Amino acid sequence: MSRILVTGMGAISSIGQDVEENYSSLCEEQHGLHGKAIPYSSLKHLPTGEVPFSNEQLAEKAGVDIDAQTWSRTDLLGIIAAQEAVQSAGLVDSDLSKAALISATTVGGMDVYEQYHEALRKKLDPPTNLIAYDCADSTEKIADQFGIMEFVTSISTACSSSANAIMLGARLIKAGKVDRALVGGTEALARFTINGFNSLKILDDQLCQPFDKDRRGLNLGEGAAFLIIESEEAASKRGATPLAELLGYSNRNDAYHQTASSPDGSGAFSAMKETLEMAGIQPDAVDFINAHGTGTGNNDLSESIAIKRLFGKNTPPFSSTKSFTGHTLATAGSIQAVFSILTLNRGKAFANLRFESAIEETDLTPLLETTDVNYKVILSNSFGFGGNSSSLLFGKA
Amino acid sequence: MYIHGAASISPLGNLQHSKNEALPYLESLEPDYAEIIAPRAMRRMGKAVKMGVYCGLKSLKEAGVDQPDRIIVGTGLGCMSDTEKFLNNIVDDQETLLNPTPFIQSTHNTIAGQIALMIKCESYNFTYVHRGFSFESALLDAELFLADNPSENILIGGVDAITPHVHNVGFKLGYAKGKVFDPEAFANPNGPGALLGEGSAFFSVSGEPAAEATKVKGLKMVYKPSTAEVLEAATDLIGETSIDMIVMGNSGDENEDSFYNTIAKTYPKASSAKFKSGVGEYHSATALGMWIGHELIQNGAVHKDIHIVDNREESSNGIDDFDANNVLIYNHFRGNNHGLILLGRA
Amino acid sequence: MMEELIEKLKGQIIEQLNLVDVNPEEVGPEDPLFGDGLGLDSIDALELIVMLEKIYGIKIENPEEGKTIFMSLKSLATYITENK
Repeated sequence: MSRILVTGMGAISSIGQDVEENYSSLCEEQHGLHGKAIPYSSLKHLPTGEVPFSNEQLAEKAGVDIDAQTWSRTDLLGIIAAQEAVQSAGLVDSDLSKAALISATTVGGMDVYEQYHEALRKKLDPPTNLIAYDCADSTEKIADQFGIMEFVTSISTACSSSANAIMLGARLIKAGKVDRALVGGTEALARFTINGFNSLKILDDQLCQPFDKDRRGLNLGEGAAFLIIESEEAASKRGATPLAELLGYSNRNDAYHQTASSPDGSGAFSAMKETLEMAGIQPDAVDFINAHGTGTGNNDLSESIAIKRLFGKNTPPFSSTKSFTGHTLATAGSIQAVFSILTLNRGKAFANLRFESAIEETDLTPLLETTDVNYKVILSNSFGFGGNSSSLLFGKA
Repeated sequence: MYIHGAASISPLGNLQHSKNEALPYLESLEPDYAEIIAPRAMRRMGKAVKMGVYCGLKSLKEAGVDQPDRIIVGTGLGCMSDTEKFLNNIVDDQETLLNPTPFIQSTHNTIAGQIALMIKCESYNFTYVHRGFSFESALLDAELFLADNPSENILIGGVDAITPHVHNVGFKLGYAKGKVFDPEAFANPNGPGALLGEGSAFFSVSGEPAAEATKVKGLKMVYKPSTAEVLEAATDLIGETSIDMIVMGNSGDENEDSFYNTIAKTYPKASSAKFKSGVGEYHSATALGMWIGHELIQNGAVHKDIHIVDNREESSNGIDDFDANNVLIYNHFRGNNHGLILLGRA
Repeated sequence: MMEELIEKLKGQIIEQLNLVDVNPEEVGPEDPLFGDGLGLDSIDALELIVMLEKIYGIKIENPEEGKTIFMSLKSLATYITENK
């Protein structure tokens, strides 16, 4: 069956408006957690990884007319990252009509919808961009921008969403349904999400500390990230330079609790294990793990236990880039994919910021500083609500 | 792909309720959920979750499957009643002292997640949320897996639930009818706007044939097509097969009918069932269309709430005595997401 | 006083957590609310913390404290009485 190659990527987050800016911030250990909730939320004590641009500025960057169209912030972030991915792959619209587009989001245009919801109770008329409120809007806007017609869909599986989008794209290519796919996710901050996570008491009112024994919770973030993935044949036919290979993937379910991960990390363990088995790679061949590492009491312990179960004494170096970007929810999987591929190509592994001391039960210490490395195989984890556990394995092209 | 078990909840049989309550949309005839879902497990569930979990578990039961190999759900809007509740709470309580339950219940993958939790299914679990492709994506995903491993049992389904707010948004944006439900609307469509509704339909499918099972012969998904492109997809899917019934997704919006008219004209010998006359329009409605097609093949009948055009040569049989060997389901969502499914006999 | 509060709490908890399957008469003052006994979970704990603050004006800062406070109806009633 065909090898799956990554030939393009795009990303926008609180640490950069494109892949290069994200990369610089990661190298310089500059986090993006400067937001105070979001402008129209009163929860200003909560740090967030806000993309530091207004919707108008994002629209300008995306080259779209925000007044004439119906755009949510999620739409705008998605379009920007998708544009970069397509450009970086050296593709034009005509290359994409037979491609698949699989995008992911958890709240879609909630940033628009929630402002309307309040207006509705006051019996005001809806804003024109209300039509953008559902999860599919950003996907269809991206499809229409590039003329992608062959296969278009959207996935929503909480924090594993965009990892799952990448997975489906790979499966469609392997099944011979399409030669290439634009895959990833987009998520804007919304008052709905901030309050939702706050009600679960898993937010940190300070800068998050993934894997630290005194971690207090996560910081929410926003952003979008997309990859272009192709079959080896399609990529070589057009002379594309591969950035990485998608060696393996798996989606499993913890089936333990609606929001908490199981104490023995069984969903995480099986997702990682199955991913390696699919790739035919032994645990000791994994050079690095881009961990889910949200900074919550529950995830970081559960994930650490799962990592130890799988890797035993040979736990590879690992870090959580959520210490830079915050938890971008649906986008987490795809943005970690971009960061993992940067590590493979540029020879730099990124720090797990603000770590001070290890969780007692598992005694694992992540990578403390951004470091020069020569890695060939990286595992990336995304574990979400509803027990949804996904892992992706990337290899040097 | 063969259907080993199926279940649905929909407004079929409940049209009078909309008339009595003067509702501008259709609501489901709900079962006693406690038949299948333990009350303790149900206590947090909003309507969409209950509908999905009930039908999911019932399908598995009918198929005799304890643990499916995969759970794949399609839902366009997820659990809107919980979304709305949490949004109200945020405003009313000014972002303080919020109960987390409506938030966690509102996430789209709650339905698939709850099914997995209840039967402790640790396998692959996906949720598709793409408008009129939500269910079709789940079906295609299952097709991909069964092509590699026909012995798998996969649970797929589509569910969406309506709320007054969902309808109001649709009405304000111009795609939903605002008037009280009119049963004649499907016989004589008038003007723009769809009659909104809701429903849940789940299927336990496998690549292993079973005697008398409904066979899912093929699926086409077409994005923003021209009429010619839909026709091409239909003819490619159907080939020489003789279609007995087209389960058509006319929504009550007159402007959306041209696609359906073209398909109906292309297969003039096929009868047609405008299934949304009994269930209304919603994102994952194709799932219910497929259930209706499945029921027709299995039981030879179509529910009386569905507007039928009977093109059979021998018209002596009533519509509750309809022998169908091949059924086409054709549904589009606002002209953008077109799904065609061909059902036949094993 | 304590008995009255316990009965009141029982009703409030059943309503708040939508425990439609629970017969109030079968819940004793010292029966465990979490794990075995009533079988509540971590989401219920968060809801009870919200309920405690909304109805009784008592704030629990650390959800971990909730484990002892919510051990039984009696422990909850005691806590409320001591902290009002």
